[in-house]
Amino acid sequence: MAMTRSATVSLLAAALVAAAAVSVTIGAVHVSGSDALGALRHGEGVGAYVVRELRAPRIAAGILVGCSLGTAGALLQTALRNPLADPYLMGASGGAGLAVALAILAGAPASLYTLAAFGGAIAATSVSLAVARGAGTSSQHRLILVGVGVSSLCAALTTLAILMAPHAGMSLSILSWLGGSLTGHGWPDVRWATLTAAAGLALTLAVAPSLDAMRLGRERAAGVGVDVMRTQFVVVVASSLLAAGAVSVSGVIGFVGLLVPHAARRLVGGSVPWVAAASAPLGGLVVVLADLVARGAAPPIELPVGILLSIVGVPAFLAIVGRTTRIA
Amino acid sequence: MICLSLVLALRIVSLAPALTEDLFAIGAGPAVVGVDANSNRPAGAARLPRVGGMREVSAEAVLALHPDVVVGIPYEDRILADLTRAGVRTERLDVSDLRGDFAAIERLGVLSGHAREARALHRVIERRLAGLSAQAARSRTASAFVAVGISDLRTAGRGTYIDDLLRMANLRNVAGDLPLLWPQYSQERLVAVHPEILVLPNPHPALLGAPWERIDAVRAGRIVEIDEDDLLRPGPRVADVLEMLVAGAARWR
Repeated sequence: MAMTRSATVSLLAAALVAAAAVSVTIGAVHVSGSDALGALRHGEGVGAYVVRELRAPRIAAGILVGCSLGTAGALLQTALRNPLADPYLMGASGGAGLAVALAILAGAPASLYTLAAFGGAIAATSVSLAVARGAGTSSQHRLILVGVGVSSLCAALTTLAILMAPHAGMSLSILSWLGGSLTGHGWPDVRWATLTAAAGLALTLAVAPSLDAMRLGRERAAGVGVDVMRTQFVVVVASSLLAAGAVSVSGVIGFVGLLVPHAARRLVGGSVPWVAAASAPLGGLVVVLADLVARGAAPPIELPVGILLSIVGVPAFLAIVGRTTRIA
Repeated sequence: MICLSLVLALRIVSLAPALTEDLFAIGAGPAVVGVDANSNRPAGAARLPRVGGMREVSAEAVLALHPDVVVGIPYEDRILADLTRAGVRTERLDVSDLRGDFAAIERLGVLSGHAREARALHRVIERRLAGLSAQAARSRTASAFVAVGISDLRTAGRGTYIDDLLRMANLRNVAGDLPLLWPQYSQERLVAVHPEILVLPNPHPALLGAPWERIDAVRAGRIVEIDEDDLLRPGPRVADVLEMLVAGAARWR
């Protein structure tokens, strides 16, 4: 079984690398395959610029966003013992959207949106955690309820910001950011996402064993010496860090964090470290392929990647909900 | 006489800035009793009660104004359908392109009892457009990209009044062959087609980093900035927009 699992994860990682390599050669500007891969290192001219400064960072951002969301979803679903937990559950996307809306209203340059989104995501998540813990024993249900509440509040305030914007262009910018897209993100954003993803993954590794024990239930996990509350807290922090990094470079890309862990679980079984290890490359693969369709299906028109993912994601989501109720 | 008193008593709610401007431009301003949140022009419209905006129109707020007719655009189909069910007369006017813009002016004239003024306004606008277009035709054709949205590169495709105006300004719309009204344009393609002139709504965020650093029009400063309230809405001032386009582009050809 162990061989099969590691083989599966390796295969997923290889598929991700292959998808990324193919992606570099496809786009609205024709660059031949060998030229495109060569342009990653050097080269002048429009083709080289397009590949190095527009296509490559976008693919890298897609990989990071997908890996982050997939891993974060896998962790949260186990820690909160809820198959419908999503990395944005604690308010990361709501907080990010609100912060970007405020940045746009304040007339901040577009290069600051990433930082604003990250700050907003962390702020909203912190509020959720503080309220849930301040209320005493923080059961996973309380965490979820508080997260939903904070997210709704942020969404309402964001809608208000859209309505109150003094310029129509500002409203359009906010709506467009909320839609989720990998376009318009250069290397600075990729470096930033790498940093947050690394921090989130490091935290993840620290708690993965305890988390695995929690699959048996809170009582049994406590019985084998796992600090359930602390593990849950660290997981929520780690997954929120991953979600904040992802949302800050791509806007709200839904369903990846929810669905990828379920698919990964089918491939490698229920063990948490393995599910997380498989969810990362699988998430990256899903986002890279979706973005390839978004920019390659009808060039030079860009399709909204968030909507593409939802078209595939919603039916899959309904299937999960259907199965879950049957089990219950 | 009876007809006149009916007209005087008419109460109109406008759910789109372009339609609001049309109504005031044809002298039907006094009949307008409510507008959407984005209807900021003219000054008379800005003082009217607001009923919400951007698909967030409040049907209740509209009904509280007891309108005889509510005018809106296709984007607002849902709220218009709700109001129709509530027994209010609604009129859906598609102002996507110039033809629709003119049809809306004439239709609003009929609805508000200002048909004559509407026809006159239509004629004046068309005459100005024709004059400016003839003027632009004397210089060479240049390519242009209109960035309706800066960060997402939303642009104006075929079938928009902006595409119509670019053609009249003797500018070749880079996105003019795209079948969507307001598509998101590929960054890489924009770098490859290097449009000679960039048209932007004002205000707009700074053009920093990729892809702007690589676009000749940005590096050479060949940018025509047009107030967003002029550029981003059709209505009675489309000839003003064409004048700005023609004058702006004339600097580089």
